[in-house]
Amino acid sequence: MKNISCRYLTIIQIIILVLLFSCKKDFNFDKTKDLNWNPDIALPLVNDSITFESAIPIFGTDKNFYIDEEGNVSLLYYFRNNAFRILACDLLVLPPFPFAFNHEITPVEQAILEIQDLIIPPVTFPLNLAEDNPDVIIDKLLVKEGSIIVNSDCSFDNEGYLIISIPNATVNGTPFSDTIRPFVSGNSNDTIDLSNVLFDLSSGPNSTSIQIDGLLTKSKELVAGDLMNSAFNVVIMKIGSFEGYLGQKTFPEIAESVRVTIFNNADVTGNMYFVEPSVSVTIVNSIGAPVENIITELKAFNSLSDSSLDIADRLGADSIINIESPVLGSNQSVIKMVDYTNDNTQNSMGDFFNIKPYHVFFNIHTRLNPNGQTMNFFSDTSSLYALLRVRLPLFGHFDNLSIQDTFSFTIASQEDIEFIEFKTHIVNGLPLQAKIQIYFVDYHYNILDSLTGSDVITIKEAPVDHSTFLPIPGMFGTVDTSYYFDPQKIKRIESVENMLVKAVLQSADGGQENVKIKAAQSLRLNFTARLHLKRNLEIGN
Amino acid sequence: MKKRIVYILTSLSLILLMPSLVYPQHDLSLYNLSHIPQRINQNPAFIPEKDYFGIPLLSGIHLANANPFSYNDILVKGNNDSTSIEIGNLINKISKNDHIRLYTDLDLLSFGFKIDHGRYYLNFSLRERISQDIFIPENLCYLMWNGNAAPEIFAKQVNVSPRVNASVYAEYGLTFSGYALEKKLTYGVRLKYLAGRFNITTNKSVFEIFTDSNDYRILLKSDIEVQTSGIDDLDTYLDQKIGSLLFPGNHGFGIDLGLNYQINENINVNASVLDLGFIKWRTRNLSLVSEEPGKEFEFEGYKLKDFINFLNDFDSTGKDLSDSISDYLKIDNVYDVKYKSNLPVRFNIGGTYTLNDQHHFNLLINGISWNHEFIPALSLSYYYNLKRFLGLMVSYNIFNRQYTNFGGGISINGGPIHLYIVSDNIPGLIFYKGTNNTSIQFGLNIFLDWKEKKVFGEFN
Repeated sequence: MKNISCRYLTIIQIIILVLLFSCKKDFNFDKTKDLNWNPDIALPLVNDSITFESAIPIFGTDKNFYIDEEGNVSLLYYFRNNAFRILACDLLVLPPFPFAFNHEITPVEQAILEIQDLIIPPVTFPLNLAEDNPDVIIDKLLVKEGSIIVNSDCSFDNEGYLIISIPNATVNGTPFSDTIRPFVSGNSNDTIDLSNVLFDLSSGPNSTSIQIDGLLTKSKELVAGDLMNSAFNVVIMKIGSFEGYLGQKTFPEIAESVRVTIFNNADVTGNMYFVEPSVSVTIVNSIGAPVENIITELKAFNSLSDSSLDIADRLGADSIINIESPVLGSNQSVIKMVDYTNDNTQNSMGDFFNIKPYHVFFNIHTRLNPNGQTMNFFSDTSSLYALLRVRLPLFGHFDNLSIQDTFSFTIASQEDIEFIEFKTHIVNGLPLQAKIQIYFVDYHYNILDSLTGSDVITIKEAPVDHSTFLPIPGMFGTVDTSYYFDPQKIKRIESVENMLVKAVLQSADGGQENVKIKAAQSLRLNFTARLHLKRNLEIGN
Repeated sequence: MKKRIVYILTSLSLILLMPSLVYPQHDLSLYNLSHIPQRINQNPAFIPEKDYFGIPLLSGIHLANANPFSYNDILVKGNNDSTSIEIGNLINKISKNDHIRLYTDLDLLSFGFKIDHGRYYLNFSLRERISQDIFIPENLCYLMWNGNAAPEIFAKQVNVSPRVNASVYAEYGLTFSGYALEKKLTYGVRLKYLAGRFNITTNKSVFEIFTDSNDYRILLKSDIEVQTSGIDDLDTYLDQKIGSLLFPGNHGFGIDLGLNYQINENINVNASVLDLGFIKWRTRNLSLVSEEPGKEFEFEGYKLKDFINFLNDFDSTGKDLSDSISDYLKIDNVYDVKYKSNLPVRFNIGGTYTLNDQHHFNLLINGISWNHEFIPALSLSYYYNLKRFLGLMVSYNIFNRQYTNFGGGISINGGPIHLYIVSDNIPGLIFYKGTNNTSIQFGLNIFLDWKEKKVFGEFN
C-alpha cells in the first residue's frame, strides 16, 4: 500500500509538470496580431446662439451700432477725430505793441547827479489791446503767455533802474510792475514776463497804458548829452481768459466727413434700403458766445460710381443751428443736436442713402454773436466743434445682400477616419433669409472642394408680421442639414487652409418686404458630428 | 529516499503552479468525498473519520476560475502561429454572463480530533480567504469598443459603471461537532473570528450615459458609493507593524452550521449554511462618493475648432475628452468612515444513496448568496470507497452557466499520510483553453490515529 501511494504521487507530479510547461507556450504573445478598433462616436459640437449684435463683424463692418431701450438696432457711423475745432486761440489774436522810451541827460540833471540821485520822471504810453480787432471789446484779459521785450542802448553806466508798470494790470491781485536795472553802457536786452497778468479794463474797455519811470543814482560820470534809448515791445501770445465782446466773428467753414462702411465693403454687395436713416449734426460749444452754424453742405458721395448728392438746400430752417453761450463760471458746454430725417429734409434721406455713400460730408459756416453785442467770454480750453453721425436703423429691405468671410480650417488626412458626418440644425429668428455656400480653399484661396457641392444651404427667414415688421413670436425658419465626409473627401481637403463662407441675404418676400432687426433676434446653431474610426492598436512585436 | 524525493518534487510542482490562479468555490466534488477531513469546512456536521493534522500551507489549496469567457473565446490561433484577440467574442460572452467571481481559501493551519471517547469532535482551522465579485456591464464594453453611437447603446440610457466587491480576511475557526438521536443525526457548528485585511464594497454604482439620437447631446448621471479598507496607500501597507499586519483592527464574526441525518441504511440527507457573518471595517478606510449623486450633467461637446483638433490628434484630444467626462463624475474622497460588510453566504443541501460500503450515489444542490444575487450549482456524483485506503469519485457538475463540467477526486491514505486531489471540472484542466471553469483542490494531511480501528460513530 505504501508503494501504491508513492506511485500515485509520482504520477500526479508528472501530470502537474506537463501541464505547467505545456501552457507556458500559450502565453507567448509575441506573434499576436494588431487589434482593429472601429468605434462609432457621436459628439455634440458646442451649440451657439448668434444674435445680430455678434453677427455684425461677419458683415465686414466696424462694430458701431446702437441699441435703444426697445432693442432696435442701428448702424452708427461718426467721426471720432476732434482735430478740427475752433479753439480759443482762433477767437482773438492780439498784435504786438511796440513803443520807445528815450531819455537824454540835461546839464541841470548832470549837476543834480553830482550831488544826489535823480528821479526819472514817468512817461506814459497808451496801449490799445484791441488795436487790430475793431469789433472786439476787452473788459478783462488774462495773459497766459506774454512778455515785454526791452532792447536798450545806453551811453552810460549807472546803478539806477527803470520801473515799468501798468495801472490796471495785476498779478495775483497785486498791481503789476517790474524793474530793469542797472543801466549798462552799450546794448542790452531784458524780458519782462506777463504770464498771469490780468488786465481789468472794465472801466475803459480795450485801453490801458504803460508807465515808465525810474531813478539814476548819484554819479559824477554822467554828463549832459548821455542817452538812454529803450525799445519796448508788448507781446501777448496766449490768452488765458477773456471777458468782453468778440464781435460778429465768422470762421472758415468746418468741414469733415464720415466713412460709411456698410456700403463699401469688398465682402458686402447687394441692395439695401433703409426706411428711417438719419444724419445728425451735433454742435458742442464751450466758448462763451452764442454761435450760429449754417450747414452749407451735406453730401453723400460714392467714389466707386462717382455719384454724389448734396441735400443742404433741402434742410430748410434746420440748416441753421443756433447754439447758446454757456454760463459764465460753469464748466458745462452747451450741446445742440439736429437730426435730419425724411421728415425735415423733404424726404431726402432715402435719396441720400440710395447712392450707397462711402462718405458723408458736411460743411458748416460758423458765426459768433449773430444777434449782436452780448457778453462773451472764453478760457484757453474753450472750443467749438461739430460731430456728424450717420445712423442707419436696421429697418428696411435687403435684396441680394452678399457677404463673405473666411475661417481658419485645417484638417490633416487621417487614415483612422472611415467617415465623418456633420449635422446641423439651424433655427433662424431673424427676418432674413440666407443662402450659404461653404468652400474649402487653400493658402492662395483656390477652391479645393465645397461642403455642399452644387447645392446651397438655404436658411429661411422667420415669418414676419406685416404690421410690425417683426418676426411673429414663436415662429422661426428652420433647416436641418447633413454632410458626409468619406476618406476621399478628407483626402481632397487635406491641404485646406481656410473655409470660405459666402452668403446671400435677403429680407422677406424676396427682399422687398421691410423688416426690423432687433438685438434679441438670434440664429441658433446646433452642430453635431458622428465619426467612424478604424484604428490599428499594436499588441505584439 | 525515493519516497522523500517524490514528496519534495510534488510539493515544488504545486508551489510553481500557485501564481497562475483565479478562483471561485462551489466545492461540489469535495463535499461528498468522505475520506477528506477538510470536508468539515463544507458542512460542520461532516465529522472526519480520523484525527488529523494538516500540513501547514499544504493541507488545503484551492485553484479554480469561473469567467464569462474562455481562453479560446478571446485568443484565436491563426496562420503562421499568429494569435488574434477577438474582442467581439469577449463582449458577446460578457453580455450573457457578466460576473467574474473569485473565491480562494488557503489553509494555513488545520487540525481536528475526537474528544470524550469519540462523542464529539473538535476542529481548528486558520485560513486566508479571498472573495471577489466583479461585475462588468456589457454596456461598458459596447461603449469602450463600439463607441457611444453603437446601436446597442445609442439613444438609450445605459449604466456603464462596473461594480467590485472583494474581501480578503483571515479566518480563525473552531468547530464543534457531535452526534444525536442515537447517532442518526450529526450536527456541527463553527464559530469564526475574522480579521479583515482588504475590502471593497460597492453600495451604489451608477454611471449612466445617454446620447440623444437627434442632436447627439450626451447626458451623464452618476451615483457612486464605494467603501474600501486597506486599499488606500497600498504602497505603505507592508510598512505596518507585524501585529497590525496580522490583526489590522477590522474585526468580524461568522458562524457555519451543519446537519447530517441518516434516514435509513441507504439514505442520508444533509445540509449546511456557511459564512453567516460580517466584518466591521475600521482602519485605513477610504470611501469614494459622488459629490452630486443623481444629478444630470450635459456634456457640452467641442467647439468646431477643437473638434478639428480632435480629428487631427485623437490620442491627446481623446485624453482631454475622457478627462472632461471624468470631471463630471466629481468623486469625493472621504476618509475614516466605518462600515460593515457581509460575507458571501453558501448553502448546501445534499443527499446520499448508499448501495453498500463501497458504492455511494450523491446529489448536491449548492448556492452562494452575495450582493443580492444567488449563484446556484448542482452536482451528481458517484463515490467508491475503499475504506482506510482509497476514495474515488466521479461527478457531473453544473455551475457558472456551464453544463459540461465533469469532475472527480481521489483520496489516498498511505499510512499516516493522506493526499487528496479533487476537481469539479477535469476536462477543464486538460482543455483549459476552451473552458470557462477550471478547478483543482489538493492537500496533504497527517492522520494522527491512523493505526486505530475506529468504526464510524462508535463510542462508549
